[in-house]
Amino acid sequence: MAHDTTDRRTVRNRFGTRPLILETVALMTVAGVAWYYSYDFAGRDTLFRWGAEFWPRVVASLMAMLAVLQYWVRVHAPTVGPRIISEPPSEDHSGWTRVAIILVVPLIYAWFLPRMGFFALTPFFIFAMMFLFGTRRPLHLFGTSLLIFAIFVLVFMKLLNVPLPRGYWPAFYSFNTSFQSLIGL
Amino acid sequence: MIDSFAGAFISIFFDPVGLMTFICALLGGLIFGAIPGVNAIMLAAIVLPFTAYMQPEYAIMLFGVMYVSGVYGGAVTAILFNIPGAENNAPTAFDGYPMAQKGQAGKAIGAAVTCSALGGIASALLMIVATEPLAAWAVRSFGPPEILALVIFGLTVAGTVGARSALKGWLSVTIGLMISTIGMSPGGGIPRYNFDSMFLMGGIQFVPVLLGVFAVSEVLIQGQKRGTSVGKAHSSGIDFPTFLEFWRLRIAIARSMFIGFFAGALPGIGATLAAFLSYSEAVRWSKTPEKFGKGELEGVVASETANNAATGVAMIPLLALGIPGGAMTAMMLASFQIHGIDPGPSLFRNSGDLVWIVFVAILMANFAIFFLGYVETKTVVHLLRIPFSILAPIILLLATIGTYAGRNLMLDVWVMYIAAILGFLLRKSGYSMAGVVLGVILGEVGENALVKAMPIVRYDMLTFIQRPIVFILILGAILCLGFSIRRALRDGAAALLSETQNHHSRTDVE
Repeated sequence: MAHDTTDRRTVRNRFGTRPLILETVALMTVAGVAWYYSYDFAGRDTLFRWGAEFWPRVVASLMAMLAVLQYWVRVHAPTVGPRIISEPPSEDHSGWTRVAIILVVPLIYAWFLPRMGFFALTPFFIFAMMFLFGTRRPLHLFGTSLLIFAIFVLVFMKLLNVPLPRGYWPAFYSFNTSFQSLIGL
Repeated sequence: MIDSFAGAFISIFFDPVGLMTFICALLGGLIFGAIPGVNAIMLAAIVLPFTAYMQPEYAIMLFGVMYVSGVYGGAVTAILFNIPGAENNAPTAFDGYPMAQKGQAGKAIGAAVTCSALGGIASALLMIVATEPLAAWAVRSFGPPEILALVIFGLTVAGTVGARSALKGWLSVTIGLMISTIGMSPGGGIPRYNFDSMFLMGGIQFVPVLLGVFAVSEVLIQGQKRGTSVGKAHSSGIDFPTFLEFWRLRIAIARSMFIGFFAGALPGIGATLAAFLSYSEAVRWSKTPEKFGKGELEGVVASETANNAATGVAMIPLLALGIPGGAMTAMMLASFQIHGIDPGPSLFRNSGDLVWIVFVAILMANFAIFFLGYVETKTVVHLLRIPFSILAPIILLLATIGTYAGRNLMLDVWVMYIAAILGFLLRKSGYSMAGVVLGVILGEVGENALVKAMPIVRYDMLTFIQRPIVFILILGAILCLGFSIRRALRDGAAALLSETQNHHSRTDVE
C-alpha cells in the first residue's frame, strides 16, 4: 500500500464526537447524581440486607460503565456495532427550531389551562397547532379548529363525563361555567 | 375449553358494549396502523387512561385487538404508496410496491391480507393452547429467584434491539431501570429520590410517561420532519393468490410463522424484527434471491406472515408470567394495574373469564383481517389524505386530556411533556423507547423479585445460580450478550473492510 487509506478521523467525525461527549457526560451525571443521592436513604432499610440503595447503585454503575464503553467504542473503534432498525441522525438544524416552537405552544397551553379553563383556551390551541403544522387557509383553520373542539366537547364531556378544568382566573371561571350550561352539560 | 371459548364469544359479540369495543379497536388499530406518522402504540397510549372507565375485560381486549389490526394496518399503504404505515410493514414495501408498479397491486394486497390472517390465526391458536399450561407450570416452578432470572434475561434480550446499537439499547434499558427506582423501595418501603415531594413518593406515574414518549414525542418528530399526508390516494381491489401459488410458498409461510412465534415470545423483539428477519431469511433461502426487491410475491408473504405471527404469542409472557414483552403489552400491563389485577400465573385462577375474552377477541380479530383488507382498500386509503396538521393537535389534545383525566392533576400533564422532551431527545440520539419502557416495568418487577429471592437463597449467589431454571435463563442472557458482541465485531469489521475498499476504488479512479 502506498499510503494509509483508512482515515479514522474522517470515520470518527462522521459519527460526531461533540454530541457523543455531551451524551456521555449527561449519562455519567445522571449516574453520579443517583449515586450521590442514594446516601439519603442508605442504611435505612432494616428488612432487606443489601439495603434500599443496592439496586439504584447497581443501575447507576451499569449506566456509567455502558456510557464509558460506548464512548470508547465510538472513539477507538467507530465502525464497530450494527445498524439496527432506527432513524438516521438528523443533520437538519432548522428542524430543531421548529420542534422547539411546536413544543412551546403545548407547554403554554398546559400552563394556562388550569387558569383559563378548557372552553376558553382550547380552540386557540388547536388553531395555533394547525397553523404551526402548515395549514394556512383561513376557512380551513377556523372551521376545522371549531369542528375538532366541538367533537372533543361532545365526546369527552357529554359522552364520557371527563371533568376538565374550568379555570380559576377571574371571569374565566364564570365564562367556562356559563358555556357549559349553555351547551347543556 | 369449549365452554370457556363459547362464553367469551357470547360476552364479546352478543353484548353491545363488547361488540362496540371490538369494532372500535379493530378500526382504530387499522387506521392508526395505516396512516404514516402515527401507529397503534400511539393510539394505545392515548386510550390507556380512558380504559379506567371500562370493564377490565373489555379494556384488556381493546389493546389485544388494536395490536392485531395495527400490525396489519400499514401493509396496504406499503404496497400502494411505498409508505409503510408502521415499521413492521416496511419489508412489505420492498416487494409489494414494485408489484403494484407492475400492475399486480391486487395480488400483493391479497397475499398480504391472507398471510397476515394465517400468521395471526396460527399465533392466536398457539396462544390459546400454550398460555394456560405455561401459567400452570410457572405456578409450580417459578418463584422469586426464577422471576429475577427471567427479568435479567428479558432485559438483556430487550437491550439488543430497537436502538441504533446494542450499547444504546442497553443504555435505554438502564434509563428505564433508573426511573423505576424513584418512589418507595420494595423491601422496607423507604422513600427514594423523592426530594421531599409527596407526589414523587408514589413513583413516576406510568401513564403520563407512556403518553409522553409514544404520543407526544412522535408529534415532535413528525413536526421536525414536516410530516405530510400521502396526497392523492387511489383505491385498489383484492386479488387473492391461487391455491397453487400459496402451495409453492408453503415453506416460506411456515418458516415465517416460526420466526414470528419466536420473535413475539421474546421480550423487546416483536413484530418489527420478525418482519425484517423473515424477509432476510426468505432472500437467503430462495433459489432466486436476485428477484427480491423487484416484485417477488414471497417477499410480501414472508414479511406479513411473520409480523402478525408475533402478535398472539406476544401475549403469552404477559398473561402467563406477568412479564410484558414490548410496548403494547406494557400498555396492557398498565391497564391491568389500573384495574387492580395482577397478570401472571394466578390470572387464570382469579380472572379466567377475562383471559378467555382476550383469547377469543385476538383470534376473531385475525379472522376479521380478511374483511379489514377489503375495507382498507376501498375506504381507509382516503383517510391517508388527512394532513398531519389536523392530526397533530388532535393527538396532543387527546394526550393532555387523557393524562389530566387520570388524577385531575396538572402535575401529570407536566410529567407527560417532560417525558415527551426526553423521549424526543433520546429517540433522535438513537435510543429505544421500548427499551426505556421495558426497563421501567421490568425494573420494578425485578427489584421486587430480588428482595424476595435473596432471603430464599440466603443471599448466596452460588445457591441462586444452581437453581435449574435460573441457570438456564442466566446462561441464555450470557449467550445473548455474547452473540450481540460477536455480531457487533463482525459487522464492524465488514463495515471497515467496505470503507477501505471504497476508499481504494475512489483513489484508483482519481
